Amino acid sequence: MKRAYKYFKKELLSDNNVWNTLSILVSLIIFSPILLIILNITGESNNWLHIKENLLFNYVFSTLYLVIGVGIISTVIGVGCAWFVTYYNFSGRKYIEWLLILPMTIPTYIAAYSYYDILEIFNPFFNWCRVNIGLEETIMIENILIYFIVIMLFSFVLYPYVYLSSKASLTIQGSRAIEAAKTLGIPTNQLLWKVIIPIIRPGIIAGLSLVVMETLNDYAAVEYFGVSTLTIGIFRSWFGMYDMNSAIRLSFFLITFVFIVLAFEKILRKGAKYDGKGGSSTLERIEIRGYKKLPVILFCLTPLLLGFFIPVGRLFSWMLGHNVSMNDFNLLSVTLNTLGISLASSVLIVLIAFFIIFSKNYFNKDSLRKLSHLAILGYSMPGAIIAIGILKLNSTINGFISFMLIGSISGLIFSYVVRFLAVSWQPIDSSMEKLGSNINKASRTLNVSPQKSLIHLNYPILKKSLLIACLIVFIDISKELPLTLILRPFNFDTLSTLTYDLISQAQFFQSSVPSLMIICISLPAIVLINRQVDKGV
Amino acid sequence: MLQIQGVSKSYGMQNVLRNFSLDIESGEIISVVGSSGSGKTTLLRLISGLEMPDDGQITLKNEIVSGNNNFVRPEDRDCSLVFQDYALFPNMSMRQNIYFGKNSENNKEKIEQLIEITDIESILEKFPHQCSGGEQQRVALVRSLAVNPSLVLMDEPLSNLDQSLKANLALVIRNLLKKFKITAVIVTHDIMDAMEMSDRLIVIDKGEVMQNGISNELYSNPQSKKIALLFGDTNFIPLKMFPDSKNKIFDVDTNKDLISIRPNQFSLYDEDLASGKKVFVGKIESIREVALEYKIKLKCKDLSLKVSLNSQIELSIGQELKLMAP
Repeated sequence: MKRAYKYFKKELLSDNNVWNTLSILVSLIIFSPILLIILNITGESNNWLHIKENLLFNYVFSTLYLVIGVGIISTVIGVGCAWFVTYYNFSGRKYIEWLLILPMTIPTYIAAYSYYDILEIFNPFFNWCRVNIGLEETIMIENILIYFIVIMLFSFVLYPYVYLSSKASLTIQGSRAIEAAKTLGIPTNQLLWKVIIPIIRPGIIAGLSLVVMETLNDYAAVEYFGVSTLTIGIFRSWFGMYDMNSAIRLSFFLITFVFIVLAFEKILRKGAKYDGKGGSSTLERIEIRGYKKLPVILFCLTPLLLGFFIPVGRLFSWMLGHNVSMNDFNLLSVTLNTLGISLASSVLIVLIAFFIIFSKNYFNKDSLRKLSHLAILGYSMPGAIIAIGILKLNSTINGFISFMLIGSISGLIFSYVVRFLAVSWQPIDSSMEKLGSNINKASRTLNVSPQKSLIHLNYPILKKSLLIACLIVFIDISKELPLTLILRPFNFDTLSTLTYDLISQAQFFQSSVPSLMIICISLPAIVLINRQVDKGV
Repeated sequence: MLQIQGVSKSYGMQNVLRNFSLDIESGEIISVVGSSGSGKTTLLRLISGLEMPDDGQITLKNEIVSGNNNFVRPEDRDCSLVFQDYALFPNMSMRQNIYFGKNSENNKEKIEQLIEITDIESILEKFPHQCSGGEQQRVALVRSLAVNPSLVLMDEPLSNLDQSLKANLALVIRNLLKKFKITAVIVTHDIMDAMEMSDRLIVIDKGEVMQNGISNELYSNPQSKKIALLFGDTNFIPLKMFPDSKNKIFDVDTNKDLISIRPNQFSLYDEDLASGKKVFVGKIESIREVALEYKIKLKCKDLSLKVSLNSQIELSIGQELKLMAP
């Protein structure tokens, strides 16, 4: 009690200014949709008994299968590719190293749509099964195959998260460790398992947790293939039954799922961080020539082919081969909508993140440091949960003021802030950490105002990180589907919702145009980010 | 100028400073010496206002800046801090760094003098990454003085520098502080650096003051084995062998009184000078020559001694040696 009293007294005495107050307020507002879900978990629901008895088991286990499958496959691909391009030299390595990030530009739902007819290949096999094995068994085989296809599809477009983080830790920490291991007589074929994997584990786990979050977030791809995950359950409860309380309860299950993943990540990382002291440039790549390089090149090219070139190739062939008319839908206005809202939201998100991170770092107020963690929980939450939280927030604030969050541009932008603040947070915060908190402390002891410090000191130093943060958020928003689908204003389409609508109407060939547009928008941003990251920003 | 009264600070369950008190006169240069984790950097952060004490009070120029439900922000404290890593702003030239502090433009004349004394004119247009550690340190010092503070705080100002730069910079720092009559608190783990720069030393350990005094006093009359060892290697000899000695150390481990005699305080026995001095006789157990000096381990009847002697004489292992204590 005395300790708590002292803590609050100290917090009240220290730096109560507009910077901290505003930052705390903004953090709390951003956290409010998630808080409302947690607070309303016990709300009455007529459909809950039905969901609990008939659907919940399926939702939970489908989600579990998917997450475990995608996690394992994308880790194998991501770490494998990172290992090959970092430690071996083979013809085309430089290009492959760069190309391997391209699947990042393809949202899971577009990858799924581009393989929409994949099941048709297996029709003769299913027919044979029906005749020779039995109907029930065939359905079971079909289900297994669907899970397999979805897991592979997700893995082929999500592996770049693991690839990038593993490559970064291999470059930062691996080379010195390999040199040390070699001098200790560890054979080359044991280096990966005995030395590298344990060292880069934090990097792998960090990338893997992003893969899991993206898998949990997906709605359209799993819907298309008929895999009933918890996210699907939330959508069905809200759109199908208009039962918000059931959606909230399912959201709570998903939140629990996310927290288990986050706790797992923390336990597995055991507090390990990149320390950047490994040295990077000294290790010579091992040259592989002749037939030995074939399996390596094949290993790296397969995910690239299946996760990028085939989907993009098919989309192009649909667009060109089926005379898709641009006039079938208002492509220009939808593209401008997407660019406009993505740009406005990403700039706003980066400004908010920069403001809070600066206040946190400059004033070092403990309560702000703690509360700001709440503001960045959104990225761990699938879009469907945030959408439900915002629907609840909307109904709560409508009791006091007549302001509509739902169906308004401001509401949609707010939902992006809640979901993507963490995405911009990470590069800005880590750059500020790298810079050292002493920079701002020095500025304080020199009696420099926070405004001057922000504009003349922090902004010039962090502007490249701000740009990267802005680009990453921009890409994420331009691809975003579940939030936009639920919260967009009437008659407001983005490229992702247009793609979804066209697919819902089985207009696969027409959907190729907005799908390709999403990829075209993301591509330059990805290239720019990769270039900046290579420069060590 | 600065009064610290009963200040305590803890992080979680770890008490970093306990009931710490200190009084500093205007114009005085104080060094706080202690090992890593002794609480010296926390002390600087508390004085500068970057941290708030859990208990106690800090008064600067007769104004309570921390404690008694008062807290003055670092910006308003009239004290500047020189960081261990210098914390120079990487996007600014050295000149821009120096003139970044509030109202530093008004102290142009003083700043020009500081620049001249510290000999940094030639690097003013360079950026921090283009300068050496010594140059960065001097710029950080000038930057902190450019805002005309009443009190300057320095965190390990010489720790990142080569030995050759240290002595010169220690002198520069001391001369500068004395010339402009600036009160300073310097924290360092190196007592030799502290002796070079300051008027008074305060040795702290585990957040408590162990000894407070001028450097010669601490050197010749350390109050604990730990303080004696801060000045380098020494021999702890039971006080009963030197009953007339005024200086003594109480050893808490053995509950015995000891005195400290440095290896270089012994000399070879000389009958003419030996009167009234304690004589030790023993066999050389090990010997090695370092920079024209023998480092000898001498096995005497009841104790083993570390001795440093001029290497102009011939000595070898097993040889008997007769020495005089100071």
